[in-house]
Amino acid sequence: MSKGVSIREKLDVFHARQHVRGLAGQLGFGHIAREELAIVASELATNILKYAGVGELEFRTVEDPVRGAGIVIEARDAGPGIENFSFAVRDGYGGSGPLDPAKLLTRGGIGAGLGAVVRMTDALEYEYEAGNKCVRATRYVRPERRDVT
Amino acid sequence: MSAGTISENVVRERIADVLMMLASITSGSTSDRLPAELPEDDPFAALYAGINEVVDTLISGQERLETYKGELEAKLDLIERQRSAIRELSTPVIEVWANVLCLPVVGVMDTARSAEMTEALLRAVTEKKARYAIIDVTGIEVMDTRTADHFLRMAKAVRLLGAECVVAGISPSIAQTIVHMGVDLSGVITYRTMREAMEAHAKAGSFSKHEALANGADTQNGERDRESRRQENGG
Ligand SMILES: Nc1ncnc2c1ncn2[C@@H]1O[C@H](COP(=O)(O)OP(=O)(O)OP(=O)(O)O)[C@@H](O)[C@H]1O
Ligand SMILES: [Mg+2]
Repeated sequence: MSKGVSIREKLDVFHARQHVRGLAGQLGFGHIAREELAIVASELATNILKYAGVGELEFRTVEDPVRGAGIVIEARDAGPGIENFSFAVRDGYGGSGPLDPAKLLTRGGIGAGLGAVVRMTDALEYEYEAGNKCVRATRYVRPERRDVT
Repeated sequence: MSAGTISENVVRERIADVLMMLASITSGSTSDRLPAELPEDDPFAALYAGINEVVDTLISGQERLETYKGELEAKLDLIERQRSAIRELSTPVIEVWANVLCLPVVGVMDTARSAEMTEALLRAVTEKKARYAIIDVTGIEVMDTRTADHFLRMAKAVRLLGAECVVAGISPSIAQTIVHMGVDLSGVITYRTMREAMEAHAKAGSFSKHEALANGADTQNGERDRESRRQENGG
């Protein structure tokens, strides 16, 4: 089962959120996990708008023998791609290094979107191939989660 | 043309035709009509044509009404969906009172939202010369640690502008996030509800904001409020 939500404007971010909330509800995710997934979808979709202009979020369900059901969110766009993904996932960092704290606010973010995605999912991968970029986040119902603290 | 030219049996038949057609229209058919192929001098020809015309008009009116109703429902549906989207996507700043601002947050608190809020709040506090700002996060269940940290910094930044910023409706899960983060809570006062935050402000009058907040906090008995007051006094 998979569904794509194309991301072109701010309203689509809302649609992506609504979709993942529904899907998470069906799979038996708890209340908090559902809202965390909504934030994950929000961050990935917002990044598409911010850095690539247009793209797509694809939602899939997976079944892991140990961890049970899960949701995979794939964010794809044909934008410039992320220079250094291990930088990008760090709070206060952009794709090419630390962000200037004085300029954080004026650039419409706090440089912690992907950091939040890391904290709220069980796995986060990045693929860049022939101009197509994909950020893949997976979250299971029964997780072996990194602790948020 | 005279009625005398057709037999009484025929008249009965024609009347039966009319009654049956009307009955089928009444029961929902839209296509039934009286036969149009009567001889022109038949006295029923004009009556049939008249009845058919009235039925046509009625049915097309009904169809228009149905279409209209369908469109109206679709539009209302769209408006409802857009309304909730707008609520979730916008960051309104409401001046509930002179010098008192309220920022209700609906939907999710993601990084983009928290950056938008900071900007909107700092601008509104300056422009409207606000002395008290309430951020209402009722309905926001989760916040990422980094967002919560940013959020608390924002509340403190408002102080630099000469106003007080309080937070209403923090969910248990967000409270836990904040506790785990171990951030310095001094200077951030929380209330259970927007209403309590307003009451606390109104009770003490808007002359002395610090007094207002202290008195407001006295009316609270929740653990979290005691906690924040302790922090406030300590810091
Ligand atoms: N879809 C994308 N295309 C290109 N670069 C991206 C994309 N998504 C993220 N990045 C890069 O990764 C960096 C980190 O992203 P992240 O979402 O963590 O922070 P941000 O978008 O800068 O700020 P915030 O999410 O707090 O608003 C960005 O600064 C950007 O350089
Ligand atoms: Mg981002």
